[in-house]
Amino acid sequence: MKKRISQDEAERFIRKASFPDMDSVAKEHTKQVMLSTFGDVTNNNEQRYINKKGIFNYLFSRPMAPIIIALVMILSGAGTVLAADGARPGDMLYPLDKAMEQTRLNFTISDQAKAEFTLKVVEERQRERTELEVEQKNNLFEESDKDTNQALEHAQEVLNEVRVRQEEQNNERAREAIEEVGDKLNELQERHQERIQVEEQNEIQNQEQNREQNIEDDVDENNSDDNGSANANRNMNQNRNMNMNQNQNQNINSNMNQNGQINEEDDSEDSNSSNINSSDEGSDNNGVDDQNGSEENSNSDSQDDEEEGGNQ
Amino acid sequence: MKDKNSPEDIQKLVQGAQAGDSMSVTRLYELFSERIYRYLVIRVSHRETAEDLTQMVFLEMIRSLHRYKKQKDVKFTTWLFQIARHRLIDYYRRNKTILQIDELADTHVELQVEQEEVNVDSYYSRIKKILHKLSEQQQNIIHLFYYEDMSPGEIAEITGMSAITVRVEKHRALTKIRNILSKEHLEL
Repeated sequence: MKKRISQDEAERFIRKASFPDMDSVAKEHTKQVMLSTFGDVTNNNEQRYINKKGIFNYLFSRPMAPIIIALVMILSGAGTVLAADGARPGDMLYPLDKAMEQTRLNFTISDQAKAEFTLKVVEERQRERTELEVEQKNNLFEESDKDTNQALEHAQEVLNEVRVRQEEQNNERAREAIEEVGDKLNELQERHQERIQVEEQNEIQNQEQNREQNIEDDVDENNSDDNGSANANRNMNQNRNMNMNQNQNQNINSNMNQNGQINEEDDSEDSNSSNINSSDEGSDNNGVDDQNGSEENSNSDSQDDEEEGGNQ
Repeated sequence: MKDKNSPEDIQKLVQGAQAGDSMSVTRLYELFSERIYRYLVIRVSHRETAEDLTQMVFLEMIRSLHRYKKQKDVKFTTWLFQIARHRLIDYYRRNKTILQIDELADTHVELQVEQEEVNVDSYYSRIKKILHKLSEQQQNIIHLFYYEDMSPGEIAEITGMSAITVRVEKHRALTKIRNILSKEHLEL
């Protein structure tokens, strides 16, 4: 008869089993072997860290790592801030420089120190502007002037606030120091205004010079145009002379008056220009004859020039 | 068989061992050597072999201790039983031929040799025979669940299965055991 075993009975049967214990001698032996190996492994691990991975990894495997990282971050951050201190408009660190100035001002507690610091900021802006002038970085002048204006306005605001506060407190000594700062600030402001005025005058002068230069250039261009037309006329006359020479060759027995009449007709009719052009080839062929006839044509040439001039 | 020491105590011992403290290592060995031995001896059915494997497990523990980190609530107990399971798999792989001969011995009387079973109660012998009729995974699950009082989640970490699969396999294994017990008319 098959007996059906329930789940609980099966679980109870499984749990009832008691296991054999490990032999005590074997257990102790295993323990000794394990401890011996543990000593070797520990030493090897230390040596492996130091020898194979180097002292850097060894240090970074220890709790020193956060300290080293923090030191590096602090030093690099301080280096960046120091580098930013000498930044000028156009430099990458220039915004950081201005931000650091604002931060320093926020952390300054004494009113006198605040006023003096804003004065220093204005001086720095003006120094930067001078350096830019020396280096002839004209494109950065506008930005520098704008920053100088802002620094001056900010310094004036701070100075006014501080002045009111010190008057309320009746602190005579601080008030004198602040007045001294105010005088220096006025001096810097005047200097800045003078610089701007000088720049404006220079700009006006430059514009006038440019204008004059443009006018001169225009006049030169007109003259050159006149010369060009005169040369063209002269060429035309030469061509006409050649034409005349050709006619002279064709009518060797004709007199100088007849040649003059031909020239007058040429001037009055534009259609004769084709004849003039076609005469160039003839003149090349008859170069010797041209030379011979040049003296004879000198009178008619001078007459033509006078007529051209009169037309103009 | 739950840890007598709290997980925090065990964690402190592990940290001490990682720092090179031999006393912590000794204490860990005393806490876990019997449990590892039991896990192995019921599977290999040979005491000396189980002792050798236990030694291998603890030597592996010593060598890998610097790599152990308490991550995602992986307990040291779970980590140590993972090592034991891997050593057992290695043993099975190396002794595949021997196991096949053992299987033949069940049917061939001339191949049968008496195995040393000293001071072992009858329940142990019975349950061992029954467990050997289960699959490898089911043997693991039954042992860890009933003799180590591990949760399906912990067993899943050791065996590399999901917790649901562990529950399903445990149920199948238990049904199989019930059937075997019913079939053999064993007196409980």
